[in-house]
Amino acid sequence: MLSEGGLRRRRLDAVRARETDVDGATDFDVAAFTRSARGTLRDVLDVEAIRVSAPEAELLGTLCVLEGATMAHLRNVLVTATHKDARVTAFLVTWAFEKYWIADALSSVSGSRATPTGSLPGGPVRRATGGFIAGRSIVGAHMVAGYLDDLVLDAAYDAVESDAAPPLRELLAVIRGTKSRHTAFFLGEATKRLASDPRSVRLAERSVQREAWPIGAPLLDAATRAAFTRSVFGGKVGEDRAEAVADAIAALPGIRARTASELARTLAEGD
Amino acid sequence: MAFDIDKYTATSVAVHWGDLDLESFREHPLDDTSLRTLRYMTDVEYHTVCYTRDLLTTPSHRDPDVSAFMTMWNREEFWHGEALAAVLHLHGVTVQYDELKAKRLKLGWKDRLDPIKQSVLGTLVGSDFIATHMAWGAANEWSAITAYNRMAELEENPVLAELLRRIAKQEARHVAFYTSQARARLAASTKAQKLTRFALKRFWAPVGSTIMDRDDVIHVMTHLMSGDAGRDAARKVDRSIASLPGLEGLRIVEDALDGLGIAAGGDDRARIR
Repeated sequence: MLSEGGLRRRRLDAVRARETDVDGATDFDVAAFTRSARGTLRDVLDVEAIRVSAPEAELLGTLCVLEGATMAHLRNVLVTATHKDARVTAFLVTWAFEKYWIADALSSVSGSRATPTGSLPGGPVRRATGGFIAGRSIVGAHMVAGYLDDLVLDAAYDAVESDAAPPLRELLAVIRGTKSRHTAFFLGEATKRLASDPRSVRLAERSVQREAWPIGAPLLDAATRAAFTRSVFGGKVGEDRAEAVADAIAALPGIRARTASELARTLAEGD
Repeated sequence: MAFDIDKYTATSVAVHWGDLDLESFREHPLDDTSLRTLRYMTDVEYHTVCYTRDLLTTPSHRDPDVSAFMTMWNREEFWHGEALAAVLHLHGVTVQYDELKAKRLKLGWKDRLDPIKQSVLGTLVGSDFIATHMAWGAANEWSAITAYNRMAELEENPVLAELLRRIAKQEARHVAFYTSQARARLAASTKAQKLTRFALKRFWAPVGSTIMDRDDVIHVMTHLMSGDAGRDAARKVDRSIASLPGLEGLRIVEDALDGLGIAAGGDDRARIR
């Protein structure tokens, strides 16, 4: 058992750790989330029986790669101060697990065997060096990235759902329901961290402006990326989806309207 | 035999303890020595994500099998932490995210430089570096199984023994993955063998050494690995590691115990209580 001194030191360390958090960043119940994680979707739906059209299969196959890019993303994220935050990492461990099974279902429905096999831009040395300078403010930027990724992917699910038959709609509802908890976590964390840390805002804005969205987009070849942009953000409905994503990002504390409108433009143009 | 990743992911579950009578600890509590060891194990399981970070600096994430394994493995290890924390909770010890975070923050500059160091090494060495990480992972998982089994033996508490057995069973599947990867990658490259041998011999230390206080490491090693029985268990782990291609004769666990001054003979139970 720890000595009294050891216990005191441990408590003090915990208090210091808490002080580095933003006020009230504990609204989302991470413990409840980890306890109720959704595993394979094959347990609740007859995934293999769902039939889709060729265009649906194409978009769902792309979504399979994008949902499966968790380790490629964590490679860039965990080399920064984000890995220090045990609450965030507890979430990310479960988030990756749920996304793995979403990708599995998408792979089955689309008939795509494509899995993410590349690396995302940056790489550990650049990200770790950048993270070294950014310190704990980088966590806020990572939360915005998670939120924006979810918004873009949700726009894609919306695009698939528009013409989907009931069995596919049912699957999409399960997927979107599962992902809604991820979005809630990222939104809550991003809002609180950006509201209390101007440096987080600057880092988040830079990331929104410079990175490709969604997070796994660089893993797609140019033709697949272009097709994704056309399917999700093409035409008037697509433009509205891009605007909705940008509006949600603009609603985050400190994010400038100009950054959001640039985002809407790049989503629609597929830059 | 090749590791069946599809079977592993399909059967990966959070370790289950709802059917175990943990309430019995209220009447038959563990002693302070065991609680300190259990706390160490809990922290180490929760900190698995730090090892994931290092593994991800290699090109291993591009391999879908490795990526799938890491997803499930991380979650299983997290739940080992949760299960052990449930036992601690019944002894009035609550493990909070803030405490875990505090421990990671305390690591300071060295921890912040580590991924850069690992990445540079990975870039210089190339894909052979994955073999080193896989052999390292195997060594860690073998050690973890040994630690859980030793704790179960020493404690003679049927509820704890069953929980530790369930955890060790999942760790055994992790060993199977790491050894299948390490064996294939080491067998394919003499350079990987030399690098891995050098890295393990020079840098390997008991799991948790980089994140826990040295006093805690010594406590746990003395509790679980001292005496005749403890040393026998250490030799068994060393023999397993030495069975990998190019690692013949390595005795990294025994060397680590010697380095920490852990007694190699006598009655292991008498030594710490």
